[in-house]
Formats: sequence, structure tokens, C-alpha cells
Amino acid sequence: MLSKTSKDKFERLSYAAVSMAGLFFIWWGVTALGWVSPFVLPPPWEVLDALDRISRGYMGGNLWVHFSASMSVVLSGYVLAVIVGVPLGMAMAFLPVVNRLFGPLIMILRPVPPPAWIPLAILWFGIGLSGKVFVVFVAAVVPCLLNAYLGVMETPRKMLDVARMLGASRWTVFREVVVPSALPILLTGMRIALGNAWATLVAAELVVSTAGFGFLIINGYHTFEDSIMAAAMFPIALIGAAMNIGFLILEKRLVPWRRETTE
Amino acid sequence: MSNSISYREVSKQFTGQAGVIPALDKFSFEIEEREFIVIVGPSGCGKSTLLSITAGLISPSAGTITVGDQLVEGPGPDRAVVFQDFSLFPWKTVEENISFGLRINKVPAEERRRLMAGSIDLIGLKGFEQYYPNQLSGGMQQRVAIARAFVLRPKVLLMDEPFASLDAMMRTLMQEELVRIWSEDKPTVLFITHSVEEALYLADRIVVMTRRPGRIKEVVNVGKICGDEGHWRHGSLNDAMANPAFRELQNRVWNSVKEEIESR
Repeated sequence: MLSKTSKDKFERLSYAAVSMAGLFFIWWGVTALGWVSPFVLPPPWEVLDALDRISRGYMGGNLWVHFSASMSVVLSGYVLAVIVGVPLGMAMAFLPVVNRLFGPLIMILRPVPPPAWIPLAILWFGIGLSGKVFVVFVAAVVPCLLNAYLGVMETPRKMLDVARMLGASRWTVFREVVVPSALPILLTGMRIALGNAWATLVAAELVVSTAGFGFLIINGYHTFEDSIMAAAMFPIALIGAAMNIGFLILEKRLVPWRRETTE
Repeated sequence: MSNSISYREVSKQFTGQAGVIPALDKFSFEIEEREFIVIVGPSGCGKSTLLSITAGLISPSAGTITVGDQLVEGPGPDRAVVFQDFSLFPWKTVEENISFGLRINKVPAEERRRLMAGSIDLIGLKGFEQYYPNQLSGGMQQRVAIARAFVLRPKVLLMDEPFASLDAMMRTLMQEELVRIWSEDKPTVLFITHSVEEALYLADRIVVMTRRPGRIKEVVNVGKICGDEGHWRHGSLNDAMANPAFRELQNRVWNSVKEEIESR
């Protein structure tokens, strides 16, 4: 059993390595052979060099400064979105009044892509932290809210009946049936929200910021350094992927009953 | 007296897009204390509706149900339900599923442990206490569901086709096991099934229902037919089926149900 899963893992990693290495070699090939101008596509060694420059300190800070600038905004906006979105989504599932009140509003606001809020956010909150936190909040709150709503609504009717038959109070039913039943869907929503938050933050930093990875990209653009632009994309990708994987591990931990059956 | 169930002119209509659909029509019946009643009838005859009303999960359109001297007005731990799909809490282990009812009804921890141990023993799932339902077979899951219902010592046990999703062999085993578990405490049972054989093996009395809207077509007193030697459910299903009286009755009840299925 164990050897089978580790073999599975190896196989999956091999496939991933093939596509990544393939892309890298094409990139390396076309730039090394001079088929593509370095002003259009910076060669890998220049990007590596740019990464090194950033990590030693670039535009007022080293890698850590840019990392913490981006991360503090993402986490503030995200936490706020969870605190508002999850209870509101649950309340919409429980109370028809709340659903009727907020449902249409959310339907109207949802199609607006979060980056479209950036100019307004700057007008309202200025170019400091709070404008970007607001935009991140807008990006993250919808998946939190919708999945909290969906998770509660999907609670199997029979489970509620069984709990009530056993004498459970409404509060007990909520705590011990509704919440665990909704948890997998809710956590998926929170994971999607974190990805949205991260992507939207970078977009916000492209427009207005004094540090952060989006700031690095737009700075590279202004100074015609495409290697800096490309270099800044690597930490964005890696951090985004790491957050997603971290969340998936957390989901497995918090939802142990979803683990595969042991035979 | 306190475990008897009495139905007085219980009716239920559902209002859907197709208009008003009558499910039950003036159902009146007395179930005696510690009696094992099995209801059979064609699909849509209101069997499940009757069970849900008895459970207090839905309310009748007219009429009353009393358990003992208590009017049924909502769900409560004096009546336990076992569903066809087991309906175990997937996020709780076997132990947590069974002890859930004890815990929320404020049974002290000491007492809870004692009852739990007895219950796990009774259903033969020692060693599986920390398993999650999805790690168990269908038969094992249904045993947990039965234990969860029994551990609260309910006055009434309501079973809605509990073995319908099990394979034939497991089904036979579970029928025999149910008799054994039930004999410990003998709550009053209302059991719904599509299987005439299952009904005959388990029931003191079988209630045959008509097509929709459900009324009582006939009541078959199996206990009386079993005779002086005691009810055949205390032996194996095979032995019971070898009994000529069993086979004769099986024919009679099946024909009665068939008539209802075929009547239009």
C-alpha cells in the first residue's frame, strides 16, 4: 500500500519535472541561440543575476523587505475577508432575510474583477496600506462567503434529522453537524480566496506601491530591465504555489475523515 | 403501556407542483408495548411518511400520534431512527457516533464509557472504535447506526428499510443480529421494508398498506401463527423459511401486496 502511494508520487513528480524542464530548455535554447532578442525575453542567466541583485537589495530593500511588504497586505486583507465572509455566508444560509438582503448585492458586485476596484480604492484610502488591503479583501471575500453559504446549504437533511432525533439542541446541531459537514467546502473556498488575494495584490502593487513583488515588476518595466521583471515573477509563483500546497495540507489535517479508506 | 404507540386518524397531504398529493388517509392503529411491527406495501404508499411522522420530523395534516401517554410533537431521544443509508456522521469515529446521543443528553462520562463498551460488544465491533464510517463495510456501518439508536434505550425504534442497501448475505446476518440486539431491551419497533420474507421473519404483526393514499389493507398476526413454540425469529432465517407455515404465509402476504402493486 505504502510503496504504491510513494510510487504514485514519484510518477506524478516525474511528469511535472518533464513539463517544467521542457519549458526551461526551450527558454534557454531560444535565448542562447539568439533566436529571440534579450530585450524581449531575458535569458535565464540574466534573470538569475537579477534575482541575485534583488536578494541583495534592490529599490530600497532586499528580498525579505519586498516579501514582507507583499505578505502583510495579503494576510491583512485575507484575514479580514475570512472574518467577514465566512459568518456572513453562514448567516445567509440560515436566515432567509440575510440571504434576501445580501444575495442580490453580491450577485451584482461579483462580476467586477477585483483589480477594477484599485483606482477607487486609491481615491478612498490613499496609496498606503489600506487601499491595497481593501482590494485584497474584495478579491478574497467572495469565495469565502459563497463557499460558507454552499457548505451549510449542502448539509445532508438526514444528518440534521438524526441529530435532532438524538436530542441535539440547535446550537449542538450547528457545532457538531453543520460546521463539520460544511468544512470541506468552506476550506476549499478559503484556499481559492487566498490564491485570489495573492494574485490581486500583485495587480494592486503594479498600480501603486513602494515595495513588494508587483512593485519590482513595474519598476523593471519603467527602467527597461526585463530581467528584473521576469525575476520578480519567480517569487510570486513560488509563494502562490507554496500557500496553495500549505493549505491543501491543512485541509487534509482538518478533514481527517475524508482520507482514503484503509483496506 | 408507556411504550405503546397509538395512531388516531392520521392523514398527511403534500402540496407540490402537481397539486395536493395525499400520502396517508386516516390511518388508525394501535401498537402494543414491546411489539415488533413491520409495514409492507407498494412504493409510495406512505410508509416512510408514517415513519417520519412518528419520529416527529414532519407533522401530520390531521390526526394525532401518542407514544405512551405523550403526544408526538417533535423529534426526541425517546424515539430512535435507523435509515437505509445509515446516516452516520462521517466526521465522527465509530465511538463518537455511538456516544454522541449519550453526550448531548448529559449522561455522565463514567456511565457513558460503560454503555459504550457494552454497545461495541453487542454489535461486535471491538477494535474498530477509532475508525471513521467510510473505512467500514456497509454491514458494519449499519451496525454502528443500530448501536447509536439503541444506546439511548429508546422506547421506540423506527427503522426505514435499514437493510435494503446490503447484499443478500449481509442482510440475512443483520436480520438475525437485529433480533439478538433487540431482545436485550425490547423497545417497540416500527420497521418498514419491501421484503415480505424480512417482514415475516421479524414481525409480531405485519401491516399491509394499500396504494396511495396509504390505508391499512390487512394486519397479519405472525406471532399467533408461529404458535406455542415461540417466534421463529429466535432461530435462524433458514430454519424459519423451512417452516411450512412460513412459506404459506409468505404466499398470502405477497399476494396481498401484489394486488396493491397491480391495481390501478
